[in-house]
Amino acid sequence: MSDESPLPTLPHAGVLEDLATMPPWVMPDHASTHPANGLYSCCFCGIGDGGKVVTNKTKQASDMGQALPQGTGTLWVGTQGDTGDLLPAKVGEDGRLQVKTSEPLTSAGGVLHADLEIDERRSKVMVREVDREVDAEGRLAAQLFQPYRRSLSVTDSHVVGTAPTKGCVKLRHSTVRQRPAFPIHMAPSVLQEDGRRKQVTYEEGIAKLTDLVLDHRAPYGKTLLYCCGQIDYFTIFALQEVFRLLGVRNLAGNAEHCLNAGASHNEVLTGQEGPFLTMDQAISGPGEHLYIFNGWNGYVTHPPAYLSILKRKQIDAYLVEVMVTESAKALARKLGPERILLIKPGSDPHMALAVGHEILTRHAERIEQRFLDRFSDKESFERYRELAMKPNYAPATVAERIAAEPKYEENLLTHIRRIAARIAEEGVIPINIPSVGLSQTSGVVAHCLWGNAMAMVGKYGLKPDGTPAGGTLRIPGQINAESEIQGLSGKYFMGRIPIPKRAEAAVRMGLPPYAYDAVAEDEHRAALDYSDPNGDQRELFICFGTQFEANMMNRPRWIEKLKDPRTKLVVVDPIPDPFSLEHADLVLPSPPHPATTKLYQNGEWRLTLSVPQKQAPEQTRSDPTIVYDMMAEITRRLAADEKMRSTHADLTEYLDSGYLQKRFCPPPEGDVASANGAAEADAGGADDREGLLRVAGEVSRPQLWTRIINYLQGGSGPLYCLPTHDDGRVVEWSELLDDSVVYGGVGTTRYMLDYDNPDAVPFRNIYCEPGSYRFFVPTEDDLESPDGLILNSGRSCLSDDREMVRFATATFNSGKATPLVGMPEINPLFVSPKVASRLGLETGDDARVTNRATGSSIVLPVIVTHRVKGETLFTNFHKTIAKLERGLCVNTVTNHVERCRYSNQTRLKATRVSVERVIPDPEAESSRHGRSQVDLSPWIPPRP
Amino acid sequence: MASFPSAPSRCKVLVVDDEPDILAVTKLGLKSLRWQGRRITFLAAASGSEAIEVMRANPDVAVVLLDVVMETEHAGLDCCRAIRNQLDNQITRVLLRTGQPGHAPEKQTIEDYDIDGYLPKAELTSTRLYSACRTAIRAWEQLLTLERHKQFLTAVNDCAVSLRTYQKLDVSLNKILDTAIAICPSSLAILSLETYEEDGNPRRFVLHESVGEDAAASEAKAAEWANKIHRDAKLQSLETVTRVDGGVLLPIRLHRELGYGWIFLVDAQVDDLVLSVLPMLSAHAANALYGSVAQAMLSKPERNIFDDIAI
Repeated sequence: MSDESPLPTLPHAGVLEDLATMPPWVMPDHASTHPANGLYSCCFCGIGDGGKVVTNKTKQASDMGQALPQGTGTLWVGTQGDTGDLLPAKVGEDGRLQVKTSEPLTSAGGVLHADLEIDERRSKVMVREVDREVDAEGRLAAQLFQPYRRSLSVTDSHVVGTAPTKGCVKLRHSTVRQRPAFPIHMAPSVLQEDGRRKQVTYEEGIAKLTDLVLDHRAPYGKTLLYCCGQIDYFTIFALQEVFRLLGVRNLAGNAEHCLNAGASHNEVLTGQEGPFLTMDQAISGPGEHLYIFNGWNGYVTHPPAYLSILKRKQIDAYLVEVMVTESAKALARKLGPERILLIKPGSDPHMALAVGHEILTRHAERIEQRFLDRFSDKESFERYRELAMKPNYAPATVAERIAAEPKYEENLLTHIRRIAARIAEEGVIPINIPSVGLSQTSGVVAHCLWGNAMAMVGKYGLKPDGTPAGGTLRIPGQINAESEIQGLSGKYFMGRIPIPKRAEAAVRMGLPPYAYDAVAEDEHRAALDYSDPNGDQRELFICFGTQFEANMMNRPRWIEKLKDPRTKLVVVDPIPDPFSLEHADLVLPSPPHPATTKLYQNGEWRLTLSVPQKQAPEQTRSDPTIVYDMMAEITRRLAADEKMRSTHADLTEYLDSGYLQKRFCPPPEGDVASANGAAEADAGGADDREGLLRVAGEVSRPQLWTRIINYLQGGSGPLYCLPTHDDGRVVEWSELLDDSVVYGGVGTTRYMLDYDNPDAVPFRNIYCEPGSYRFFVPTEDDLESPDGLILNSGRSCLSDDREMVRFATATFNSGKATPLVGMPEINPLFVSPKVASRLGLETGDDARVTNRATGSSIVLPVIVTHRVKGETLFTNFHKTIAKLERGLCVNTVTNHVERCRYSNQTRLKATRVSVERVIPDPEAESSRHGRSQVDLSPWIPPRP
Repeated sequence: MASFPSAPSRCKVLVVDDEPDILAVTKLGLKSLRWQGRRITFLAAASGSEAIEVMRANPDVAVVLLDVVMETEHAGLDCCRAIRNQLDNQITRVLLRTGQPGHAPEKQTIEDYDIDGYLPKAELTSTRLYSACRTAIRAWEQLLTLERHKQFLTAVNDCAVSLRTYQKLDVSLNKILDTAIAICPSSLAILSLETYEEDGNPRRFVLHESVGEDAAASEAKAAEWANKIHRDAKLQSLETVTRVDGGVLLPIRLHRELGYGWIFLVDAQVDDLVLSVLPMLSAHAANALYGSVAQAMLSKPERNIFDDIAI
């Protein structure tokens, strides 16, 4: 990076100017004078917490209006109070203090602290000399002082009215007032031939992005567009609209391989992934709830939700886990250690089948025949029953097979039986909360089988009164999952239009039916497969989000790929990581979260708008504006360059028809910079006839909202996920300006199991066609558990040290605003005593962990602990000093190949590894493996 | 904390002699002498008693060229004693000059009255006068710096030990700003701190002190400065004390990212010594403020749910 002209950065977003008004581009009249509504959201975990920022300015103290008491008195000067020098003093009408003295009490303009007594009232004064009086002979006679007066103002900011939960420390970190792990960039930068980065303007950045995108259009190259972390609704649509037209098929997000099993399993069961429980219903709603936390470490990942459940007056809950997480400890403290059901990695489908077996054999009277007869596919139920009833899935057999260690078998058996009984029990509402973690050991399989267990007793949906009968609550990573389900997919156009039905999508966008033919011709590849060598094909990676290389499984292949001169990398993110700064051809910073507009959709289909609380840096734009500005630049070039017209003949057709200008370019009058005149534009009803409005540099959100709604409800009818209320009314933009909206009947009418209504159809597919619940029947492959030493990774710190727990709950794996405070030097490898004994490992040793399939390895310090069990190893994947400084991260040994065949989830949390002790080099003892001695004491468990 | 000597803006030399021509001769002999590139300011007194009054009004005199025998045989020595004892001035350097060496044994006089030199008038050449004055001025400068340094450090220390973690944060902020003003007088001083209240929500303090006669105008000016600095990412990113727009900006960074703040002293006259001391104040302030903020946060009741539980 250039030392000569460092790139402009911010230490944290708190330094940006506060905004008192709504940004004009979100207002229907585009006026800039509307008072801020304070809508704000969390940019972290995907639960979708949002609320309103309320800022209270209280002037706590001010003596600015007060003056020194007028009159004649005495001044005590000196540090000893009464023993100091006494001098005649007078305060005149002008408020100045005159002190008679032949010796200056201060130097010219100096400050004096003293005690002033006038009318027998004594007070401390701090005054500054402002003048001197001299006698007739020019000698000092008196000094004149002006008193200092002070004023203090205190401004408090709170996020109030949060929903769906009260929010945790990560909501506050979303304000990015603490320093993130890397500085916030204020302007785009490009990589020069000498390897240094050069700052460019926003317009130059867009020009560079345009160059790269055009250079990599088929047949000249390939483009992968990848979104790390949460991405907003408008951006998803913008990516659809622009990149599909450019012929790009492979739009993906990290949900594709990490997060979406929790969502997509429901599609396997019911034909669509849509949720039916709200978080409020599931977490704090009335009724006798039975909670099954399937690998959910809610204490660390979603503390408000987890603690709210634990605080319920009567709680019945289990945690199915492979190790003793923070959540395990919290639940064990509340209900007893027997509630923690410790199993082997990837064996949770067996447990769900055992629960099913128990219900079918011991609680058969509770099978809800009405559900089976009217709302389910009975043939699938029969196949499921046949499987579950096999002796192999009898609770005792399963408990023996899957218990993390033999000593847990009995407890596991007892509680498999009890869970089955409770699920079947009348009045009990089973709430399954699956984690990201377990989905990454067995994909959708376990989720589906738990769904089966609830469904066969009629507890997968809502009761006729809208309250839950039972079901699955989606919490972790669901904003990312919704992004993938609804738009960022190589299989579907937005609204779940399959790629083969591209004509439908094109027509909805106002294009001819063949406009997306190039999309279908573009080979579909999973994002993880882009790390594969690709011959001489030039490839462009556009990443919305940062730390791409660190977050991808089998990291060594990615590093090789991204460093390849045939690969071009663009990063759109306000906080680019060091790898991006070293290798990205273009970094386009969007504004940091508190300075940008985001519309998120979480796992309960809650749309939450977040408006800027801070002024964005001048050379930054939000993600959708970047996308549309790039397309406007393409349009401009096509209009001006004959050669481009012939090179991109497909686009030229849309230029000549005026389509490009209307959809992507600002109207001829240009940017709407102020309220004047803009109100007349009435973008709320804008229909793209004049172009896409830019308001103060940003694309008009009301106009985009109209465009999205038109796309989703036009054409041949409403598409999947058209934001509508229970009664079918489309969600209006003005409603989102008022508050967050849960749409689609979630929590009220969706999946309503109304047996008394002969017309009831609780389950419909993504095309709104009537369907039924299909019991999931796994294959033998689906039920295969990994063998040997298994490396698990996650967010638990496996420590009782408060600082460690605090860091784990306050940070996030995306590193968006990872606080440097409390960051561990390194993440150790946790090993069970059994494995440690067998491998000759002791706490403090270094161990080499090697992926058995790829051969890649990392060396980590070992902690031997009872908190991991059996053949399981664990390491945390949060940021560490070692990761930042030398790239030591778990994804070096994760594998990108093994995936769930239903959801494409990798088995990254069940990585098959080998482990060996590293023999220390006595000559390099103090700096083994490039690290200094690490203090491991916070992780070392107390003696049992 | 009463008052600190400020950095001198000029160098004064007091010539005390009852012979009127001596002042002119002395000025002539020292006309090429410069201090910080500027000419010397000469003051004159024709007697010991007059010299005492001049010193009373001008305690910042660097060097006194003092005739010993004036209205009395010991007038000069009496004057010297008054400067040291009565006026309590240990900083000003004194060079004695006399045409009658027998009246003041050199060694004893130097020791008793902390005199920098003894110059018999008969031997007083321009070169010797120049070099003696130059040396005395340098000594005065160093002593003044040491004295200021001592007083600044005392002020910083007094401030640091007075800050309590259980105090309300605004009380601590007042003390810190008072100390900054005492070290570096300013007509308008602003302290801004962005930190967190006990629940972790953002809280911003803006404190200002001014000697402006118009309270509303002072507040407006303080708000204007505060906003200007708050909006300027470069200023917010400063790591150390920096001169900014005629004033001085002192960043305050609380440990563990618990707060960012700064003190801005408008129109402050700062020298290297002030610039070296202010960061010490900042460091102590940051430490103390961190303690206050952290204590408030930690004092929130929280059960320890991580007691070891065997599972």
